[in-house]
Amino acid sequence: MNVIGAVRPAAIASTAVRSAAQPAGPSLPPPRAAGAQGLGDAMCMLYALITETSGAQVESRKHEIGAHKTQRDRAIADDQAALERARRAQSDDADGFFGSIAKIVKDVVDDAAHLRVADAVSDFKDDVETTWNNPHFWRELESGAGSIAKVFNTALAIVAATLCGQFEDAADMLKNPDSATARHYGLVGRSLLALGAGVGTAVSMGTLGPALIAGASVALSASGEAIAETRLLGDASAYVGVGMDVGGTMLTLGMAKAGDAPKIIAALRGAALMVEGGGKAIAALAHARVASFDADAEDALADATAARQRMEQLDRLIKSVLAETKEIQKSHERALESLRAAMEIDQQTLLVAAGARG
Amino acid sequence: MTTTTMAAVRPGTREGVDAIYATGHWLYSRERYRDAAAVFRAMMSVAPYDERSWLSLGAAHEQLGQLELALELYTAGWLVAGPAPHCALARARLLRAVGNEAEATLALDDAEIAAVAARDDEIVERITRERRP
Repeated sequence: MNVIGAVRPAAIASTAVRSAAQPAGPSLPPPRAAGAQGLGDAMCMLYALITETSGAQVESRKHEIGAHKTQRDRAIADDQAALERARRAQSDDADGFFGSIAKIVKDVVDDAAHLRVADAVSDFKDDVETTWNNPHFWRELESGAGSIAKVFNTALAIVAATLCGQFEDAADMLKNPDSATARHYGLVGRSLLALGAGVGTAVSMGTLGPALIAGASVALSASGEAIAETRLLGDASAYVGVGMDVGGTMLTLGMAKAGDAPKIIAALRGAALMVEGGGKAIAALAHARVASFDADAEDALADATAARQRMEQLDRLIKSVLAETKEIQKSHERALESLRAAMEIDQQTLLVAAGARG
Repeated sequence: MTTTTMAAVRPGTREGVDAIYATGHWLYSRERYRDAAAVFRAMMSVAPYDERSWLSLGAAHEQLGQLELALELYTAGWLVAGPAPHCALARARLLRAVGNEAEATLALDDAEIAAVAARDDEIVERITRERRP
């Protein structure tokens, strides 16, 4: 639209505009008449303004788009990092409970067998750290923490099989802790432990102290529970289990000095409480670790969602800015074109006027 | 066409600014408020100390229903292009129109002071009329 050309006759050359219908609201002061020089100046000013504004706006939009793209790249990186964190927190790829324990035992035994004490310490530390950060381990421990006795049984069984030189059985039991072999060696292990504790107590005449006695009695008590629970011995399992508990305790008490009996009983109770408390503590720890991994996974997924939303928002912004930039450029091109046309008309008018005068 | 730079046109010549104002006024009088606002914005860029730039741009926005923006422009004009009795009066009138009577009365006082400073009898008369209930 050639606004300037259209305006000239009415607004510049006459005061007719004063009588034009003035809308409600503020009344504007009437314009003063402007000559050809004024019109030329005005056109130049507007032309320069539009050119400057257009350049500045396009430049500003370019910076804006650049900034959005940087933010978008960052959002993509955040999204990927968050998804990776979520994957790690939920991962079941790593070794589970028994796999982790087996690795720790294997490394320590391997290093000890080759007299690599320093390596054993280092490997143990590394394995423990890996295990601590292994969600699969803690999930399995949490689900199995209610049966600490079974875990204890497995550990005893592995020790017993190892002592008996049955390494393959020990390895099998690591993989399959509920197998009949594992239960068998569990019984052997408990018996050995109880026997060792009783002998130790007798030999030392009670001087080994309540700790050893308590440990052995707890082992017996655990074995009784395991037998009763796994029904290894059929219907008689419950009775046998209780019998083993009582037998173990009597054996220990009988071999200790009579005067130490009250102390031993107190120690047994304390140890039992410790085991119970320890089981609960392990369960609580495992639960806390699993909750922590779950929370990490949840946080990471929330971060990923937020990053993706930010990315989408930035995409929309970039599109909108690009569209706006195109529109600004088109609008300015149109305005400049109108002004050029107006200036040409103005020049021609002046030439015609000059010709008429001449 | 001769190449013109901003340095060559700034500050705007009085005739050039008058021509821009005439253009905007013509558009405004034909109720082309959006076009008029674009021209008045350009005028404000080259003549920010001219009271008409603020008053006319505020008026265009007022006609477009953007009353808050108009009020800001009148206030800015009254402060920047002072003494600016037209901006002060327009501000008072708009404040009254939006129901802010107390502020409007104070704004009328400001307008009167500005009108006396500008020695503009016509605007003093309008302010007096505006005060009457």
